[in-house]
Amino acid sequence: MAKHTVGIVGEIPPGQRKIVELESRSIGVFNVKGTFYALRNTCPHQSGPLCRGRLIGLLRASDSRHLELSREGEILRCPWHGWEFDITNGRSVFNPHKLRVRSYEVTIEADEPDPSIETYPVTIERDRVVVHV
Amino acid sequence: MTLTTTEASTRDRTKLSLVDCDVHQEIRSWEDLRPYLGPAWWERIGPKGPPFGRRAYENVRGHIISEDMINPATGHAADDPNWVKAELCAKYGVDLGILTSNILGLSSHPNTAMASAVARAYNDWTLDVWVRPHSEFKGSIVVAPQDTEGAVAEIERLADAPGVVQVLIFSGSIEPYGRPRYWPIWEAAERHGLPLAMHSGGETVGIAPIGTLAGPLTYYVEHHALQTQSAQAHIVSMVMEGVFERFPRLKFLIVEEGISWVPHVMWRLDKDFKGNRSECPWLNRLPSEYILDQVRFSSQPIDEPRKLEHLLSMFDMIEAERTLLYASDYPHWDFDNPKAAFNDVPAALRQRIFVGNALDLYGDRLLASNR
Repeated sequence: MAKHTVGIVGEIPPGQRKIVELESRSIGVFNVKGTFYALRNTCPHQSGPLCRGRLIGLLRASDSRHLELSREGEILRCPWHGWEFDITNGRSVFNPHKLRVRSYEVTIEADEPDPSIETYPVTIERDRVVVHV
Repeated sequence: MTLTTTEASTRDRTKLSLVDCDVHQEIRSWEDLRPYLGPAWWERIGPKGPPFGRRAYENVRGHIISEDMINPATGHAADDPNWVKAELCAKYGVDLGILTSNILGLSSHPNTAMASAVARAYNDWTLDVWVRPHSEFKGSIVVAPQDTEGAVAEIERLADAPGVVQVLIFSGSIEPYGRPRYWPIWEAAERHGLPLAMHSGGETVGIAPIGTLAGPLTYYVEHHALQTQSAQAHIVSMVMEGVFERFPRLKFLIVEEGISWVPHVMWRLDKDFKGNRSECPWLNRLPSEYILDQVRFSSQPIDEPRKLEHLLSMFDMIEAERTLLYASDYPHWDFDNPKAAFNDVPAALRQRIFVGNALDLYGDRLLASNR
């Protein structure tokens, strides 16, 4: 598995995304309320550009009058036929057991600190977003 | 000045590998039609455009356009031929795109003269902006079928315009298209050797009824799944009222209704006709024979049964090798990717769907110059 720095934290504010090409794969990197996720930018349905889709919440309802919205910003809706995927693990909403899109581990890495300076471990805007492909 | 071969002369049929029979060019606003409407109709219609009506059923948040197909330069979709060429033609390999417009509510507009005026202006705009300058696009003569006189006049006006390949109507209607009031329009299309294409659109607004035979449905997903009811009614009507008997050279292309309803209609009509022949004795052939000989279908939205062999069986039932034409429906949300949706179809059949059947349907007009 290779590690790729795709940018710095400050480049992708919460709710935003960046689409990059890593090892000939198009991958979407998302900042969801401070946590980073990465999904293959290819819908398993007809290979549409999944990561260009709208970020939505999960709509559930026990009946037609009582809609409940949760997990706002954590569901990605493919811009083509609307298939929904959980950004945190790539699983489809309608069939999470059988259908998913490839998701990649993302870590935030700081550059090595100067050992001669007393430092405190804090994630800052300049830390690197690293996708593991 | 040297003209490139694709602009000035006939296209080479052997170099075509993908014809797309459903590409929706879009006006950015009704202002685009102002010069073509002329001062009197513009005075009447104005920048808000005609009251074509918002459909009763819509996808989530009115989602119609795939987000990735929005032109970043303008915020609109399919509004610039060069953008569509870069996106659809270069990216997805479409050699020729047949334009089907973004005025799909035209046919259910009650003001017949206004509907025809809008159709005329839209056709002139299409030829001016899309077809004459760009050999990658072919034009439709959009007509308002609720205005028999206006529709016939428009066909007569543009039948010989370079770059035009078909007459185009929409499926939302006050009566099914086999009814005699429409026959002069079909006669004109047949006389000029122009296929008649019917694209879905216009249902649930204006003069078109809302509701199935069980009453109106509740959700867009229901409506969209059963959108085929419209095509079924029109096809049954045209067959049984004798349109295909009366106009034997007329070809009828049904766009954006898929195919899985077609065997159902053919089998039911054939079976019932054998006993009820006397109700429609002007028919000299079985309904399915008229359908397979004179009706054509666009592939989108392609059905996706769990088993591939079911899809291939359906293709066999409808004789897809001669009746099915590829359509993308670009830039709408239910776009069928030609590089993905047909990968499991045998190559020879795929070639017929991608190119062969379009060449047969449109003939020389498909290859002729747009100027």
